[in-house]
Amino acid sequence: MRHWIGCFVKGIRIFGEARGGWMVVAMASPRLLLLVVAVALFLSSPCHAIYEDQVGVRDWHQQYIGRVKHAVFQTQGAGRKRVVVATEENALASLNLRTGEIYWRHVFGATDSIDALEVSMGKYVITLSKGHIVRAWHLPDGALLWETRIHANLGFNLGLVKMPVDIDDDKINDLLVFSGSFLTAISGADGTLLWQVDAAASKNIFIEKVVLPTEESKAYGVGFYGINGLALVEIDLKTGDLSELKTAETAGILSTDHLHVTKDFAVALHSDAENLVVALINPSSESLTLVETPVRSLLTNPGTTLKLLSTKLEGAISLSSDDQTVILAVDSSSGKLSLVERLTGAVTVSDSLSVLDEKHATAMIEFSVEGNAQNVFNLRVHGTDFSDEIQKETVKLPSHRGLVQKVFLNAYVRTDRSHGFRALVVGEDDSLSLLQQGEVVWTREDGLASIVEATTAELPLERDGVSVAEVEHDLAEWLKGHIMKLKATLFLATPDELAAVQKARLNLADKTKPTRDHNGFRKLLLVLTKSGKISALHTGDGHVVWSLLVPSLRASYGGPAFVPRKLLQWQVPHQHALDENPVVLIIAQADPGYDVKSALSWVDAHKGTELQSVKLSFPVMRVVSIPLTDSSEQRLHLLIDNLRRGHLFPATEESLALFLKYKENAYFYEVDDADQKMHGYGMKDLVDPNLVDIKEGYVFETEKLWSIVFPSETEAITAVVTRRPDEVSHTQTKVLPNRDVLFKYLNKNLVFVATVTPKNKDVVGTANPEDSTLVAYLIDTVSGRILHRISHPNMQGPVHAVVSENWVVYHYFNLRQRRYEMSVLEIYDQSRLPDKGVVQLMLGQHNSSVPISSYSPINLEVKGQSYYFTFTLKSMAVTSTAKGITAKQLLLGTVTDQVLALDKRLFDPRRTPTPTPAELEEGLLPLTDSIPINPQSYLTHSYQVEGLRGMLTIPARLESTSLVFAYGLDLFYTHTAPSKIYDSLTEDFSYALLLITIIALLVAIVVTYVLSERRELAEKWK
Amino acid sequence: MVAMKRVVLVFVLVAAIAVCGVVSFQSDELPEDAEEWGLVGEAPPVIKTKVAEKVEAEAEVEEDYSDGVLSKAGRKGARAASGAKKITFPLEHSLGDGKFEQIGTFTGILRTSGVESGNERQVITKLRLARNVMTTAEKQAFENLVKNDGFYTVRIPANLIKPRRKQVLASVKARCLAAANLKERFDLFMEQGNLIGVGYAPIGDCSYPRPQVFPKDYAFETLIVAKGNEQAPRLGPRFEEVVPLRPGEKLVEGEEGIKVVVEKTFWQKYWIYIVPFGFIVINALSQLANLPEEGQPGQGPAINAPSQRTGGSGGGRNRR
Repeated sequence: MRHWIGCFVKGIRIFGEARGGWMVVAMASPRLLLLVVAVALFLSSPCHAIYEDQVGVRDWHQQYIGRVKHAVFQTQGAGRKRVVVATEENALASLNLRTGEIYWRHVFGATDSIDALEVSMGKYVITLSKGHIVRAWHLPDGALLWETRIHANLGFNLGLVKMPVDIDDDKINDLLVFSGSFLTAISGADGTLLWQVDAAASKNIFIEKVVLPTEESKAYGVGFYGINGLALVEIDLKTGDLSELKTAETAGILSTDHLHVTKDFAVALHSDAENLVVALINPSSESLTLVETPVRSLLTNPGTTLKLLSTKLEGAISLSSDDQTVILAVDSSSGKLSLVERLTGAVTVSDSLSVLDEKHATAMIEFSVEGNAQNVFNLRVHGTDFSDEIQKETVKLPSHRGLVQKVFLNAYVRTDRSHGFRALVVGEDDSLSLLQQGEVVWTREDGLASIVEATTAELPLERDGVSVAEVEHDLAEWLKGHIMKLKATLFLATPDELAAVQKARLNLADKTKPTRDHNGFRKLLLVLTKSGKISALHTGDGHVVWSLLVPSLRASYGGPAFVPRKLLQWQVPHQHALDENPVVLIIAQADPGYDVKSALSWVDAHKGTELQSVKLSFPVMRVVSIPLTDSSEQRLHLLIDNLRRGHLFPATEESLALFLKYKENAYFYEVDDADQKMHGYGMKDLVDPNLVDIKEGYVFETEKLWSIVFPSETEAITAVVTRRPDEVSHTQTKVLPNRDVLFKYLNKNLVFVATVTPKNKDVVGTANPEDSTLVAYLIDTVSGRILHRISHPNMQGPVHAVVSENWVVYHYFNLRQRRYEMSVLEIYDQSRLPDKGVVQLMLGQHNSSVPISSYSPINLEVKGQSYYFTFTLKSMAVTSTAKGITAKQLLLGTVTDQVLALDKRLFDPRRTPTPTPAELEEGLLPLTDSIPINPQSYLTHSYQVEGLRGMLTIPARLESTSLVFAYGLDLFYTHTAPSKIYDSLTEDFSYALLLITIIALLVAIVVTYVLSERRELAEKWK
Repeated sequence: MVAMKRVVLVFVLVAAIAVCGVVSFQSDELPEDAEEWGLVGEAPPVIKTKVAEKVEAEAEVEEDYSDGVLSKAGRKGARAASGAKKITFPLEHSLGDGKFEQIGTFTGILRTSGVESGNERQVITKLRLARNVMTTAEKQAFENLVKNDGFYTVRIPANLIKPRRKQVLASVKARCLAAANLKERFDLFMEQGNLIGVGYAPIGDCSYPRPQVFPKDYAFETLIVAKGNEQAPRLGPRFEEVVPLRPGEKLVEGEEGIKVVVEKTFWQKYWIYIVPFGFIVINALSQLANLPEEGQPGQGPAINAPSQRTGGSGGGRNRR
């Protein structure tokens, strides 16, 4: 069966190549095609579900949390040792301190950032979001216990303080929240508001920080007093009463960036960074005492960028300047400052950790040696007065983790009853590692939670050096495995054998081989993350093959930091697949304010090394991938700068010669969101390199060819979607049941634009159905011609759309019916209508060798239909297969972070409520007013891809199968076969059963032959 | 006699229409699809740049074939609220040097409706273009464009009623235009008096490689098509309407809502009884048919019996 269908599909391909193009196949063999489609339709059914034991065979799911910004350890008590973390991706998670696994995790909304995190009473996790939502979570299981909304001044310092008092006598200490001028006490048990005061209204102070002195039921709020003073107010924790302000002023203006406050003193820096001001908090004195110290008396060379760091140190402050970090000790009685440490290079200091008896410990991580594969760091833990070194360790971290960005210190009691320290460190690549006893206990690749862009690369071919044969089992073992499978199928296997079968299926040895496979299932997923790290994941099980923190994109002293933007296929070797590796290009944008505006970096996709990098003096606004490659199979790219000049890369003579021939056909377009316009450009002449000061690449001038102006009062661009450039269409026709032919309008330059009424478009629930209209456009980006314009009254965005072949499917909200809707538009070329029948198609004048020009007149027919849809969507994609023969599935990322796969057949504008028998035979589904959702059509089955942002579909070499990679906070990968697997046997096919059947048949033939011989002999003797 | 009268009447009518056309100087329109298609017409060499005042006569002609279904009172009301106004706006072109010059003027009729209901709609109809005659320098520049395979770019203001800074651009290869002998087509996508985009194309195929042909006489032939007012059909509760039932179907209200149930025919319902009954009847009939033969012992069977037996035994032996 496999071979027969395999040959069948292969046969089509060879046939196509022999005739010089895939279009010929469609014309010469429509019947063959019909057969294929019929087989595909026959084999397909609306159900694409998998069985329980198939989970994990083809798919994998990984959970991440993002870059950690707050961490609280919970190691006391008999319970499991854990650390609670809050991240920049707005996730709250409880991690196992021994392994780094997630016990539980909650992902908050995109705007619900976590400002403060505390653990109260050893079992409640308290979070403060955006200064005005306080939530309590049950530490063991992560259940939400209560949520309270309080008043807040946005844009001010926020904080959460565990009070040492119990105001409402419920045996649970209460909490104090300060946000701007508001001080709020809430019950630790149920979040009830106990008291709230507005310090700005009563005492005219905005509180920067609240500290708890040693004496009970009192707190100090410290803030700036005017522009040159500091103020302190005493807070009665029981009642919220504020004492009179204690103020003090200095001569200079204070920098309001940061105010360092401990229970004994507050430190501020003058805005000219010349003086440090220490305010002594003395409860007995009537006013604040200020002590000013010139910075130059402490530091000989304070540098130009001196600033106070927000690290919470006890009895000390830390400052950073240029590339040095300074720690100054503060005498709490006199306010005198003294230099403790002056460190150059990359140093990270942790907050002070309170250990026993008023003692504190602080960790410092210094970068010491840059190794080839590993960086060496010194981890030092200092005691209360920073003079003693309690612990010193040398830790090695892989070089792709970069420098340490954050340290969280935790103490534990060693087996010999002494104090030991462990540190949780956040790397430059956003990873999280636990260091203890000089070792890396575990590491989480949390940078993968913030993928910017993803693409794929082929794995290397099998070479002599990389023997794959040894990985495979020998024949006896292979047969044994199959017999076990057979037993499992016939319900004869014991539970142990069943477990062994399942284990063997999940850990198929050839799934994770680092070489290409026949079916094209094994690939590298290249992902570029926000931190400027590129990682290659194996599609087999999702393990990281290599990682690279791209050196040229790292922020260096005196240079800009780069934000990675794009990941492009630079070189995909076909002819040189054995001796050349695929290369990808990373485009990054520099922070503003520097001469360097952007950077390019080329990375080898097999080795994970940076080959080359260039810093550009212009910002890259758009990248045009040109369908030309030079002799080393490097793809030509045109980078468009802010002046709309094109820069050709690779900047070689050869590529220039190639491009000059192609120049006439190079166009690009830009979307001006601010002005609601679209512009198209064509290439003009090469700029003489002597005349421009730009040295990177060959520069071409462009000319504006077209403009579309959307009326800005009634239309605002909300979605712009194009076809994927590497999409393959197998046929340019659609044969109707009556043997008529419809010609698909296959234009690679088609773009779908959706506009909505700008009024109230972003505010949920405020738009009026009568005023809102959604307009869908289909635009040819070469000629700027609007191919179709259709308005949907009473509709509103957000619009999600996908364009493939000759159709567009888009999703929007119907304000009148208060439901989501999806629409399909299919575009057919009417100008080729004379070649209507199949015979005319074969003999007609039009064939694929005649080029189609965007400037020729067109006559299009656009068919459309709309349907109700149940879900809000986050993203949309479409499956892609190697030859485009297989039917397509729409992949919808739902609001529940799942991936739903729906047949394109459901979105067919030819659907009618009562299809004719001929249409039913063709596979046309009867029209329903809403799209039915089968629970089994979820590709993610029981998983959720938290924070789903994008989906990538990759064609496998096996025509029936498309690979799907969904990413957000989590990663998910699976295979999908929209028309079921018609070109190979299923993985649970029992070869043993086939073999046994054949053997049994052979035996039966021999036996019956012998019997019949005997009978005949006996017959003759009669 | 009657035929004569008819001929005269037709003649008078034609003459009247012709006279009217001359008076209103725009007689060569295609009334049957004037709403959808603008106008095919050659360019008169005159440019009209002045915005004409309200032309009542124009409005009346306009309403006559668009709102034919309106009642007289309704039409009067509509006329009071809405207005028809002649508008003009420039067409500018660029011959590859990036500089734009006015080369013609579009004229059209702006109809405003629904002012009093607050649901104002503006529609521009009857668009036509008056192109200027190209100067020798322009002709030379155009020929250079054809030689270099450059772009001929046209520009129209985005706001057609009050032309402002925003402009809509479109370009075409000059060679395409020359090959089509300057037959051009404008597809104007308009919404409420705003021009969104313009599709500018030659009338004729323009596939690569484009031949280098120069236009003989610089006489443009223009076709203007106004587009863009298509509205998607509303997705209403279409299945609450009467579902066309096929013969034999009926609606049954059950626990899961209304279902279409195909009613069974008599045969489908009762075949299980009819078939056995039929067998019984056939059996009984054959029994009845056999009865007389048994009651009357004939010689035929007796004679035949031995030969049959021999035949049978012979066969049996062969088989063994």
